Amino acid sequence: MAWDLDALIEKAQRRELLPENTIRELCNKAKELLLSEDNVRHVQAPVTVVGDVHGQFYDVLEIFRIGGQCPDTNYVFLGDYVDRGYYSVETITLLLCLKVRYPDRVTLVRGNHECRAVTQVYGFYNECCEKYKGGLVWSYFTDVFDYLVLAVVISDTILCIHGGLSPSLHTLDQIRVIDRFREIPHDGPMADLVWSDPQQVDGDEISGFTLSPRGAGYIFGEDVTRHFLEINGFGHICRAHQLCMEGYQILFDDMLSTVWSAPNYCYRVGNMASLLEIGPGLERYFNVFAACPDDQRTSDPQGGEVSFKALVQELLMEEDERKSKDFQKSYDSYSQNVALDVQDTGIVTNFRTSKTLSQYFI
Amino acid sequence: MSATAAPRHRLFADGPTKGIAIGDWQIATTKRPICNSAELDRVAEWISIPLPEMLFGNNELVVAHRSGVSVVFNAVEALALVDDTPESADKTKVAASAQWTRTSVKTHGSIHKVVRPYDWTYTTEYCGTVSQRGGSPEGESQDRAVAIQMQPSEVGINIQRLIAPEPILFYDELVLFEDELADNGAAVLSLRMRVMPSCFLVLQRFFLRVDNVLLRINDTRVFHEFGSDVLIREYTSREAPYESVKQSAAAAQDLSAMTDANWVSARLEQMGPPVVHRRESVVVGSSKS
Ligand SMILES: [Mn+2]
Repeated sequence: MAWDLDALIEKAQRRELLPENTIRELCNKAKELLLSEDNVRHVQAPVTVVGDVHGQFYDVLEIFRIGGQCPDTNYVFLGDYVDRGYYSVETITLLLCLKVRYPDRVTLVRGNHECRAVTQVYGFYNECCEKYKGGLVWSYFTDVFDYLVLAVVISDTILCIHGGLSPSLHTLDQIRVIDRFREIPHDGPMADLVWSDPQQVDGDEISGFTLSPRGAGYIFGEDVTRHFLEINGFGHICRAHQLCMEGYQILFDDMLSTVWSAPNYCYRVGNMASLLEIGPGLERYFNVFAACPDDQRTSDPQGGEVSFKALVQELLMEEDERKSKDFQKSYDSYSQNVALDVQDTGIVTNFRTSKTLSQYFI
Repeated sequence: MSATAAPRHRLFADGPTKGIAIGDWQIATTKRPICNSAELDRVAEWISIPLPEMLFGNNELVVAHRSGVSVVFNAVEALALVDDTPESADKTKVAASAQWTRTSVKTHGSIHKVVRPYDWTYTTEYCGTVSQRGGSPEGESQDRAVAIQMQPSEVGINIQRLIAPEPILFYDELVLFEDELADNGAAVLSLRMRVMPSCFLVLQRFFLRVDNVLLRINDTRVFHEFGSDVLIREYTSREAPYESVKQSAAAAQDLSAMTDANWVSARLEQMGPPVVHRRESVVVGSSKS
């Protein structure tokens, strides 16, 4: 098969799954490309910075409608492409296609979800297994994740990272020498870059780094941020990683901002999202947007279709549980409901049945 | 106890609020997006702990009886019960904590402070705000609601009533708060309710999953059979180590069941008696229309 990237991009934009072999080749090309990129990538303004998108494919399409298509607009994505949304596979496929097609106009930073351990808990692994047989596609994608860059510097002035600062990292050079081609470790500077959070506290309660009450991870304050900017001659830090109702948040006297690009997060939070558009003179503008209108989405999985066989399987499992609680009668009423939904094709809608089931909670 | 015709009822909807008026009861839910930063600032004046990532502070579930008794569920009251003592953050630590802390102590020994410790799992024993509006049933708005206590009860929820097949006249669900614990699990406080011709049930569930550490479910059920004069509340708290629940997950590599509160709840029930189990009730008067 001829390698026609533009055709693949068009497919990916239509949310079509690419064949497994194509994914493998795409991932190999992406790795080859990323291998030549430094841990810290330098790009010039004007540029548009995108925060977490978490598999919300239709909102990613909306981002390109609002922010401009590739390669007209220069993009920096700050990570967390996968997990939680319904279309992590389609989202990362599209972004990798664009990266391979326009390597100088698309920069992909690694987020804490671009990680084998995290994707096994938060959905991407399961999604890969559902959309492709076996776990191979997941291993292709997660191998690419090991190559994603850790930081971006825009016009020598604005540092972009996924999470935040690390007590082990005082200078940009220290980020440059991290051995990044690996799974994200539990601790150390690479973990801090994708995991840590800023915290604004009134007064001088916070000084330097502090510990997260959860027992892992650092929290950094205003003084640490100022210090890092001064040492490295930067003016601003832009990061993602934390949900904001307004789509962005500006902290520490405008030294740091959070950009969040997944509107109506998990399809129910009702939050706004934004793109950070950095102009030629480094002026920053948060272009705020809401979830893309429903008529521009095809049906989401909960309204989607499953095979009748799979549904019966599911109901049989339900039955076991319900029997043990003596719920046989209510089960019968559900199964009737299912039977009525059967089409000639042997397909039923999952939505109606699962909703009916969940209504009969005890 | 015998099944009788459903009390007169009427569904209503008004913007973000919808509900049902049935017999002497009004039951309504209000659903809005998470709080914006101005609203968060207002909540922060009441609640000293860092607020959960998704705070649905404008969401509410109200169960109100004609006699003036009501039970309200809202996020702010629930958060007010989260432990914020100095030791609170030490009760539970994420799975990576031991190794992470060893490295941190070694490489950054001077960083040892936790600013504002609190129970970051957001565990709450909140089981609704019960109050009584004074005056006559028709007295309306001038009467102030005062907090009242439910009394310990011998009688619990009538499970037989709940498993009998009955049409659902009104069903709704909503979330009060949710936090992803910085990708170390989830803490969710949510509500579901259903109203049938013979009774209604509200289930408020606090579901906590700390990956590779612990699962916890605090359930509050509020139940009433039409025709009876009491409103019953049952509270149970269950928890188990993550590993022991995971062992019963069907496929070893598919951990998605662990994120399903219903699945986890069924497992915890099988694993033994609850840590806490309380039955309470309040008399709502037997006025029958
Ligand atoms: Mn993140």
